[in-house]
Amino acid sequence: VPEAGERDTRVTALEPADLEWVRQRVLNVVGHELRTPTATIRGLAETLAEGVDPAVMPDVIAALQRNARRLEHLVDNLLAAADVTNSLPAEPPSVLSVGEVARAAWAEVGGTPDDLEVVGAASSWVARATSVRRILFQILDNAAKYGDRPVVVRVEAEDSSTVVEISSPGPELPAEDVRFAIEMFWRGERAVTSSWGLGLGLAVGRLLAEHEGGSLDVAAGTAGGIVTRLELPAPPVRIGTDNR
Amino acid sequence: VSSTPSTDIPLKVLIADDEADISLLLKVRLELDGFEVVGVAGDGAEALEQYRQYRPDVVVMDLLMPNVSGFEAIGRIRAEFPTSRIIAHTGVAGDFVREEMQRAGVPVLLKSGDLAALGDAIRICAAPLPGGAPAT
Repeated sequence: VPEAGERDTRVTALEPADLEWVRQRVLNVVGHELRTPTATIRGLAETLAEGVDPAVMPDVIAALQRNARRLEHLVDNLLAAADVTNSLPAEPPSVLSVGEVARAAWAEVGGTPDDLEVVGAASSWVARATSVRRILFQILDNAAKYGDRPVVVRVEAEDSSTVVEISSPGPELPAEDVRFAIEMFWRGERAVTSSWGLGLGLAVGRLLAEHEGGSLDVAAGTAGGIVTRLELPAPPVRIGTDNR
Repeated sequence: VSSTPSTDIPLKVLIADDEADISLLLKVRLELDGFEVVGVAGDGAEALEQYRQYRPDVVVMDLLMPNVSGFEAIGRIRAEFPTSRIIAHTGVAGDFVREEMQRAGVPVLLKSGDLAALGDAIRICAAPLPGGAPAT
C-alpha cells in the first residue's frame, strides 16, 4: 500500500484495455443496480399521482419506502468504497457487545431472532459503533441473501482482539465465487440472478474493519457457502457482562 | 399515454419478474391503463405454469431470474405455444440480449420508471398480423 501522498502506480500499470474493461464493468453494474429502485420509485410515484386503488395503497407505499432505503444503501456503499473515512460520522470508539451488535444487525437485515445463533464467550470490541454496525450488516445481509438458516456467529476472544466467524449452511460455491467474494463489484452467478446489490458489501465491510484496526476475510465453509471472519480490537480489560 | 386498449375486452397480461416491486409497479400501471393482469410469476418456471393456466395475450418477461431464467422460459413457452406473444422487459440490453431476442422474435423493452411505452408495446405485440401470424 503506498504511503500517504505517494502516487498509487498499480492503476496506471494496467493496460488501457484492462482499464476500459474495469470502467465498463463498474458503470454497467452501478447502472443496472440503480435502475430497479429508481424505476420503481418514479413509476409508483406517478401512479400515486393518478390515483391507485386504495386496496393496494399500503403495498405501494411499502414498496416506495423499501426502494428508497435500497437506493440509500447502494449510495452509502458507493461512497464508502470511494472514501471510507469520510463516509463515516465523527464518532469516538466505544466498547460494544459482540452479541448485541450482531443481533441488532440481524434485525436490521430483516432476520428473525431464532435464525441467529451467537456461540462462544461473552466478548466485546472497541470500535466506532457506526462502523461495526455497518460491517455486521454487510456480512449478515450477505448470509441472509445467499445462505440457509441458522446463521451462526461464533465468538472467540484472543489476546488483544475479538474474532467472530459468521457462517450459514448453503450449497458449495464455485472456487471463483469464494476467491473473489470480497472484491469490489464481484457478484457470483447466484447473486446476479437472485438478488440486488453492487457486489460491494463485503469489500466495504473489509475497508471498515481495516479502518477500525481489524480485518475481514472470507473462506469456503465446511458445510458449503462462505465463512466470514471478522477481527476487531478488544477492550484492554474484558467486560464481564453476558452478551449472549 | 394511450390508455385505452383497442377492444372492449381487456388484453390479458402475464408478468414474470423476480423483483416483487417491479411486478407490483407493472401490475398497478397496467391495470390503471385498462389491461387485465392475469398472473404474476417470480421466475421462468412459474411463468410457464401460469401461461398454461391463464393463456395470456402477452407475457412481459424479465430475463435475469433465478431457477429458470427468462431466456429459458421464452424457449419453453414458445416450444409449447408457438404463437405466444412475449416482450422481454430487462434492466440492461447489450448486444447478446438484443441478438438472442431478435433470434427468438421477441421485442425488447428496457425497464424504466417511464412506463408510457409499455402499454403501446403490449398492444402492438398482441395485434394480429395479416395471415394470423404472431406479431414478432
